[in-house]
Amino acid sequence: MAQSLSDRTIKIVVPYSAGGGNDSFARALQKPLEEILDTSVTIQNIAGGGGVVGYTQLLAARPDGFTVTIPNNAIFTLQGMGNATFEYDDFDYIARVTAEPYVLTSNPNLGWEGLDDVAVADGPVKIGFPGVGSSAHIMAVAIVESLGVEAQMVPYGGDADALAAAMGGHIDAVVSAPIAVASAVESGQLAGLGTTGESALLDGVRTFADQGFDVTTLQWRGVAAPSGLDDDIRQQWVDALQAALDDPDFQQVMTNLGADVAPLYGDELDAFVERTAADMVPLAQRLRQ
Amino acid sequence: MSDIVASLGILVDIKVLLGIAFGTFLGLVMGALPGLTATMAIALLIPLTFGFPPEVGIGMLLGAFCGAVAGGAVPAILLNVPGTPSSVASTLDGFPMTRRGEAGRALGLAIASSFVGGMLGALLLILFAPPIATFALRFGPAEFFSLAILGLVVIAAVSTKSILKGLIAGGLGIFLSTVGSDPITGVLRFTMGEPSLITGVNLLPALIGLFAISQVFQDVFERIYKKKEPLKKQALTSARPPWGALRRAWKVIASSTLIGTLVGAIPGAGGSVASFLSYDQARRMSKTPEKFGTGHDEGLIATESSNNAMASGALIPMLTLGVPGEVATAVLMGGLTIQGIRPGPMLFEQSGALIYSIFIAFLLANIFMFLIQLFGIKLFVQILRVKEAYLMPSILVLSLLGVYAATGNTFDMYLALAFGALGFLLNVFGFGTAPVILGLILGGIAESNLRRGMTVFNGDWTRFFTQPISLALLAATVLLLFFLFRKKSPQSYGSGE
Repeated sequence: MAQSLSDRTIKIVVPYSAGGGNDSFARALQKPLEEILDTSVTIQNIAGGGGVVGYTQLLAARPDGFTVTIPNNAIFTLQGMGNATFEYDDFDYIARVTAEPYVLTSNPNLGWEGLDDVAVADGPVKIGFPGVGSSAHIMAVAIVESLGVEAQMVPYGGDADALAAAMGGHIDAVVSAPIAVASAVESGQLAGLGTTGESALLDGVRTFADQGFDVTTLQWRGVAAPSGLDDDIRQQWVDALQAALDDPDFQQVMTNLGADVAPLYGDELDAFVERTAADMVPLAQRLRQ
Repeated sequence: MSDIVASLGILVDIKVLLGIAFGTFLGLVMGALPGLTATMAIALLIPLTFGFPPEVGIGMLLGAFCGAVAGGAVPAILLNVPGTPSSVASTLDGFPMTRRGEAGRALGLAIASSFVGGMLGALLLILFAPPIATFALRFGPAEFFSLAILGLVVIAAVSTKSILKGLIAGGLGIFLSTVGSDPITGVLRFTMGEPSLITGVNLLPALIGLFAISQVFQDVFERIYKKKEPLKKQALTSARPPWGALRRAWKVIASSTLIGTLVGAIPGAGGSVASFLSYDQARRMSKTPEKFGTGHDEGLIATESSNNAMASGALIPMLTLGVPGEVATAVLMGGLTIQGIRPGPMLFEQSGALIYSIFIAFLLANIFMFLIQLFGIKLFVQILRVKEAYLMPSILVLSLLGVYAATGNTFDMYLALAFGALGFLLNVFGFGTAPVILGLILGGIAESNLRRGMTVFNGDWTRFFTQPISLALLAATVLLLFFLFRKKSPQSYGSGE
């Protein structure tokens, strides 16, 4: 059954409402993929349960490569928190396209300049993050453990509330994405303490690894299908994505969104997924208790 | 100064002007359709802006934001169905005017008030953005909690005849806000195994159900069981902005604009509470508070000027801190980011020309919004000529489509229908639906901030009473309750200042 991805319409399921980062990523891929594969690509937003509803519906589709989704760390945290009926290996991961670190910033009045300052601070340090059970929450837990500091975990509804709380001094520090804090860090409204990996937006902020702390988990976005994908179809996807990443409009949107295009495929991708799952799932499971 | 001159260039760039006009028009249409919101209008436009020059893209997005907030008033006034959460309060005095046959005048008032509120809010944004942002940052857990409590009491007081029933309806909303993942521990509450409820009861299906679908049910009910009074013939000659009424209500406009801008500027305060707070304030300042809720000019002026000032206010923390003021601005910020503009403090410090372009585009969007609506009034009113036998099914279909379009989740359509039934019952028994929706919004804010406060204050609850802003808000709540229960007639509580 030699099928071609050009045979039918491709549907990308975005498990969030239109307008967010995941949605923008999918829509930026849409046009280059349509040109390369010579077929139409539709985006379907299925929001609910922080991704559970959309991912669950994706998994009910046939693994023929015509229905795919945009995976990210939420898959691991939803599994770990016990909010989803799926597990991360129910997906066949086709590619990682972008990666970005998590970043720890603090209220500038505390005078903290790096992670060592937090590690020796008089606890408890009040650490905020957007969303209980979110990947930022899991990272906040991982960061606190790595720093070995006494902390109060303070969940917020979203990035905006958490960042405003840190700027206003209601909490000490906040875990978020580079794009959310880049402007505030540059202007000194927030102090950048450490990132879990390199970020072009925050080149003045050193990584956790550089400062001697072993926290390297990255947020990422890519393409995944329900498991059971045919090898030939997978290869067609990889070829199409490799070509799509050269599209200048796509690159521009990713640069503006602060996501580094850092593609991984095949065995390297599998290793990355396993490593990230091992970082996140057990921590999320512990939060449940 | 050269920055301002440079940014004035967009005034003569026809592409930019068309972009703003198109965005505003689309925003107005989507804001006016029940089920489609400002958030949706902006989200829909974002992919469209990918290939555009930034000035055009920004203008289009700002226009959509501005238009959608104003457009929500049209169905609120004509059909008692608010197009967006922030226009819920405009049903209180807007729809009674339509009932009296003054739909044209009501729309004229709303449009003019939106315009004035929007322009004044934009001026506050341009002149005082940094200090307002600094004020907004003083809101911590205690302040949010107290603001939410004040908001709940105000809404219960203004939206129903009986304060007790209003509070009960608000309580129901608070209960519904507890559904879903616990905001602090993540434990699932009352989700009954339904994954769509993990993140709580979705606001849009609740709004659409309580206001739009409940109207449809009510219409069917009245058609079967009682003779319905026919709508008065609309006097279309008055379908233009009554500027005189606006001038007389300048105090109302001033206080509503200020309240709208400030509440809009506080990230996470739930902008829709602004129009209720303004309404309450207008009623207390009024010489004729008993007329509020019966189709009174001042009521509609208060809610609509506050609404569009709220839109300007929500831009303040986005532009000065990089933190959006509410949901629609969060999506707007995503759209600007894709255009290569990173909203935040650096924008203010470095890209002077860009920030002035944003200001000018926003002012233009307000002007376009006014002009488009001005020519649209006579068209809007035609909707009332449509026989209810056709109108009501159309509202039902549009509402359910809107809900589905927003989330793509069929569960939300069932949820909207269930809320429709609930809203119908609440209306029949005089509880009102506005307190439920605001309870749903503010209940979550109150609960999460109470518990967040208990965490960061190390369990010291007295901090809720010792922080000055929080104390002031709680004191206002207690005073309000005192006056409400002392007076026999809730409509006249305002006269006892």
